[in-house]
Amino acid sequence: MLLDIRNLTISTNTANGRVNVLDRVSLQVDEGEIHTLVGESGSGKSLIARAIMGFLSPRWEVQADRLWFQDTDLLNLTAKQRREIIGVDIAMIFQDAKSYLDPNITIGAQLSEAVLNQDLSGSFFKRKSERKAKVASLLHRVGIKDHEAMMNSYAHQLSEGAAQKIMIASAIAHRPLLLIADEPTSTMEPATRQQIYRLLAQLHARYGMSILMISQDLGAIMQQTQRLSMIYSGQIMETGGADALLESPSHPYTEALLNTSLYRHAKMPPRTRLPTLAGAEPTLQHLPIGCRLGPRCQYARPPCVKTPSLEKRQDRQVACHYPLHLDEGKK
Amino acid sequence: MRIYVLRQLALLIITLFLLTVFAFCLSYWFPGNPVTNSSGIFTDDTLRYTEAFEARGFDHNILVQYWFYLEHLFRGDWGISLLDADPVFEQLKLRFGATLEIALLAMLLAIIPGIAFGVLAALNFRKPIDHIILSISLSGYSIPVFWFAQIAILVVAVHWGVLPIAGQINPLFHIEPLTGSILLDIFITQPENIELALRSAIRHIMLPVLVLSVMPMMLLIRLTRSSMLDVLDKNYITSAYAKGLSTRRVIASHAIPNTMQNVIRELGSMLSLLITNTMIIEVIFSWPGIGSWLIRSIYERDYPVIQGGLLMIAALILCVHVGLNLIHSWRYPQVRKDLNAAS
Amino acid sequence: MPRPNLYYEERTPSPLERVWLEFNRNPLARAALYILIFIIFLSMFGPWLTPYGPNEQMLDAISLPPAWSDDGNIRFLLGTDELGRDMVTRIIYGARYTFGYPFLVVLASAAIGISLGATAAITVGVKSSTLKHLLDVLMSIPSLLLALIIIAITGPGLSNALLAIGLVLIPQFLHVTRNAIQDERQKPYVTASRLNGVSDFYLLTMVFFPNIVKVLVIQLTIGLSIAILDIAALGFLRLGAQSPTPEWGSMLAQSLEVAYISPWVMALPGIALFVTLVSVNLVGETLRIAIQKQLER
Repeated sequence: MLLDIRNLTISTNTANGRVNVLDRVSLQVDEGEIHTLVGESGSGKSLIARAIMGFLSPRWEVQADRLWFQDTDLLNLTAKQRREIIGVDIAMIFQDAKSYLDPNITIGAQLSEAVLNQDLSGSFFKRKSERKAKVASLLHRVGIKDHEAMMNSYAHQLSEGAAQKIMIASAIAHRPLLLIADEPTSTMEPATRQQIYRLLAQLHARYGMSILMISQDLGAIMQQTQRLSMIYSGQIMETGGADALLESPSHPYTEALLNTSLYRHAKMPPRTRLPTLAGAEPTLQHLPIGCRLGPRCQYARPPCVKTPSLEKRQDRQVACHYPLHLDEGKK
Repeated sequence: MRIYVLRQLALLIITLFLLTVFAFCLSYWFPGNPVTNSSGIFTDDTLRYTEAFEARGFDHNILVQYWFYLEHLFRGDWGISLLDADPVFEQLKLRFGATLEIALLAMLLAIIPGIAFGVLAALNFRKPIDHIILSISLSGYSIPVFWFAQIAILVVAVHWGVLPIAGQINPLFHIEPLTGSILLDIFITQPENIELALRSAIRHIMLPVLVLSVMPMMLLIRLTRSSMLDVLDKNYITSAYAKGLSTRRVIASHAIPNTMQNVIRELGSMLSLLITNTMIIEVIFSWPGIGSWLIRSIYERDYPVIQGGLLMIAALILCVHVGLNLIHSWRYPQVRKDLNAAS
Repeated sequence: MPRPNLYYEERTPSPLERVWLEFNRNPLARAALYILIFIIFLSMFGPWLTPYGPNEQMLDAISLPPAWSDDGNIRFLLGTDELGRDMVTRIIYGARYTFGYPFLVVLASAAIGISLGATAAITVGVKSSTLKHLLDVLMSIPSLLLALIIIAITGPGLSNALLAIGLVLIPQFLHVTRNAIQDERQKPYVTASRLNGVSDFYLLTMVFFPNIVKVLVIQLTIGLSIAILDIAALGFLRLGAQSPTPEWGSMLAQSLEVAYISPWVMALPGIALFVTLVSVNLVGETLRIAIQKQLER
């Protein structure tokens, strides 16, 4: 187990008192696995990523039974130790990559920041050229051929796709074990998105690093995804193998999301109403108690006011009192 | 980039031209005789008056007059003072040095603590240090400079008697004014008792510079703090942390350079403030700079001096502004891009 | 589809309430607001509150220290100056000269500047861009210097100084208004109302104005702070209010000669000026923070 999160709770103070934005989230990423976390915007997926990286500002309070990376507990580390782990073993790429590049420094200089000194073998004087060569090879690896021109350009001269490639190059600079990708392609056109996905898949195949992919659309996840987790309003709804989950969802939320993505309805008769989830995602101030999907769930029953725990059911884990498609007898 | 520089320079030339037009018009707008107002020669001095009248082309139409005015301006003949018949341009050159001396020293004194405290406050956002720095800077920013100078004189110079009250140097020293800046003059003329002279000059210059530096320092603190807070919220700071850089390195190589970009842009407004305060400080400390001369000449109605002083100060401000713009766009690539996109 | 009404109604405070909340959060800012209101009150009703006339000379009480010192007299709470004039009276009268008049002048030049700025923003083209460059230049020249030039033409005096400051502030309001409108113009909601086919006047008053009023309020406090400081500085340089007028700046100038013998004559107008400026700046700052917070939401 590379990353093991158990019951991660992140809370903050709002005008209406303390709110658990993330409510006992558990998430596991194995070595060499591509794990996709799917949820609507505002469901707290980015919070998880930031909590792993330790980027959260003090107004978010982070608690967890376990936040382990390999065998170290990330929560017990000092900021400095954590920074070291992050620098070497975990890397992150973001959505809207351009804004994550410093506008005043050339791309080359920013990339060479990511190259660690211990990765360089030469003497002090040779380091500069060695660093440069390293940066050039990084650029080649993400498919940028004209490294010289790229190294001398500034963020504002790049396209969104190129900027994301730079971010990936900087992320793989020291061969991380885990790459967290926070909606890296959500602002891109489909063609560029496929390019980035292909690049990530290649790198995954080549270096065997795990990828925790965060996505807001079930229809646009990476094909190589091995495991899938659904998050809604700060609660994990369902986790399991990607194919199995897409084939027969057990959680009403997964089903609802699947129903809204069009490819499932190819065989529907014309003029049928597209099934959607009723209502809107609750705001932070008005989180429902119990299962947070409750008010919008068509299968909801009185026991749903108690939060269901994430339980192992057959090949997956589901947090629902009345899971679908598992054993009809219970339903 | 070259086009941008040329455009800025062209703009500077046009504004300087407008400035001379304005200064030229002033001699008509001031009460009294325009010939006297621009040359400083009274009508009773008939011989020289007619000379000036003809030299400045007052028998021709107004465009020719302006042409002659420009000619005189570039020759360095800015008329003579109505009060003591000093040639205005020569005097202004000397006084310019004196003004620049305290203004620059105050600026230098303000920059380092101003930026340092601003960064410190931003890094401790909403913590006690931040509140302390912020309230000090807000109140320091609100102290009227003339009152502050008076208090400083009363406490430091009169009550404690540590520093002299006014002037540039002890009048016993005879320093030939060459640049107007007293410290430079001492180094250039190399008087016998150079050490004593220097000590006296430094003791004289300390109080005005200290008082003058307070306001820009406070402004810089606030400016640096707010733009640093902006920068710290930016995504590229997060990604710098994600690379595993240490906090110190993120601050030093990403946060501060980007903060400076905003600070440099706003330096211009600080400069206006500094010049205003320099003029007032010069009056209070009897510092022989342009400002004190300009203000004295306003109530003495010494029009050639007003004209010249105004021209000099305004030209200085405009040049510095263009200089700042150029530095800003030279140092920060994406500014250039925005400018090109806007043009 | 109707939204299931399961949640209690969320009440979002109005912009004005938010500003008030911000003032409530920060006790210093609230104090500044109260002081400002008090000073406005003084400059309106000051003359009815004072025990003496501003230039009334008490020959039996010359250079008396404030009442709490040993030589003080309770009749003169803050002492008297070298001509035997009551300091309390003069400070209260001074509020009108140093705060009240500049306040009115700022309002007047704001009205002129804003309407000119709005006109300039609506008429796009060469005229507008030359105007912009001219304004940029004008803005870069310190306000006090411009005021000095105007005074050089018109001659010293309180009314001339006020006029000069008013004239100097107009371009600032013009510039801010124009820039604010130009910034808003880029935003989609403006395009939306244009597409609705509204008239220019409607666009200006109902679309732009509610959105730029925040910026203008902030500029108003900045302008007020500049105006107060400049009028006091001009008074101090003996170019503004003339000698017997109890304007704080000129009081400071008069106190120069006696500052060592009777320091309170120098301290009091200075403190009054300082407190006023701090309050104005603090109120402006708080407004700015409150508005910034609203934008962030």
